[in-house]
Amino acid sequence: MYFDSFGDLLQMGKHGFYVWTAYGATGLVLLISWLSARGAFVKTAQRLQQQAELAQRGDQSAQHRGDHT
Amino acid sequence: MLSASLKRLWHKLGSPRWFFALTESWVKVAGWSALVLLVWGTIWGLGFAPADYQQGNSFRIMYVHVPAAMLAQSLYIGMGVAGFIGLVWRMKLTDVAISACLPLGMVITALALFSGSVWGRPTWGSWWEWDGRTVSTLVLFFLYVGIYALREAIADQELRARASALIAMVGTINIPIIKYSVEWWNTLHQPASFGLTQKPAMPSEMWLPLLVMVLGFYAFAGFIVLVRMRTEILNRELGARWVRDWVQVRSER
Repeated sequence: MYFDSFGDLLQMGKHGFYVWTAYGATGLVLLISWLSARGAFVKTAQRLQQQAELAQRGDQSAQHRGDHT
Repeated sequence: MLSASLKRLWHKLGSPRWFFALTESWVKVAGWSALVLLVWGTIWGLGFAPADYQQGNSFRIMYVHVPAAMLAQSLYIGMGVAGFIGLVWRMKLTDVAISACLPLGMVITALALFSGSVWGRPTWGSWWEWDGRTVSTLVLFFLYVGIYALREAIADQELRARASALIAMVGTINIPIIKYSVEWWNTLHQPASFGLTQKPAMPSEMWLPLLVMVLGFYAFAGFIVLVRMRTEILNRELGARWVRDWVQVRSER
């Protein structure tokens, strides 16, 4: 490692605040981008799944009614 | 024969269904590459690269600032190209691509501005400078915000696609302005740290981590854009037979 200790790494000379702020913001932006993209995909997949189940149930009950008439 | 098969490929590329099937494995590759590269590059850049003899440790901000700024422009170019193709060939997928690039491009541009500001404070002595590059990047951010707002405002899908394609295309004029701003105007901003053709002006132990970070950011963008495009395709093709089949296969797994 370039730094002698973990404390040095945190301090970064006198630039620790700036460096860690920039990296923290980057981590946050990437994490939020990932979570929101993934969240949208999961939500859509779940909605499609529910629709499919509803349609299946609808088919079944239609068939069921058909048996009795 | 080549032109015929190229034409076929072109038409396939425009088909949401084909794209959806094709990119299933790409998503995983892009996602995992992004994770590995970003973790590797961050550890390297933060802990192992030597400090700059002039800027000290603040130069480590470069490892997030430069990739963010590159990506901010690339995503916009991607939207411009998609917009052009969409307007000329009326391909369905291009609007899906624009909608997928937009949110990431917007936050990445904000990140480029923010990280630049945090780097500017210890280096230039101020959080913000009205110089060519920061202003043209700010314009880029407003272009993203503008297209985003426009898309929210227009309900008609066809009109929305054409309006955003047009603005995306016209806005690409700003990209060469960002690129050459450091040469055209007197500026505090340092020139490119990195290029495809010239040798970097820093030693390899400094630019190699940057290369890893740039690759990581692009892999991440590929991952996010693909996930968003696939989501949008599912939403647009709700009733299609192949979507129902996909749902069934997925639920059985």
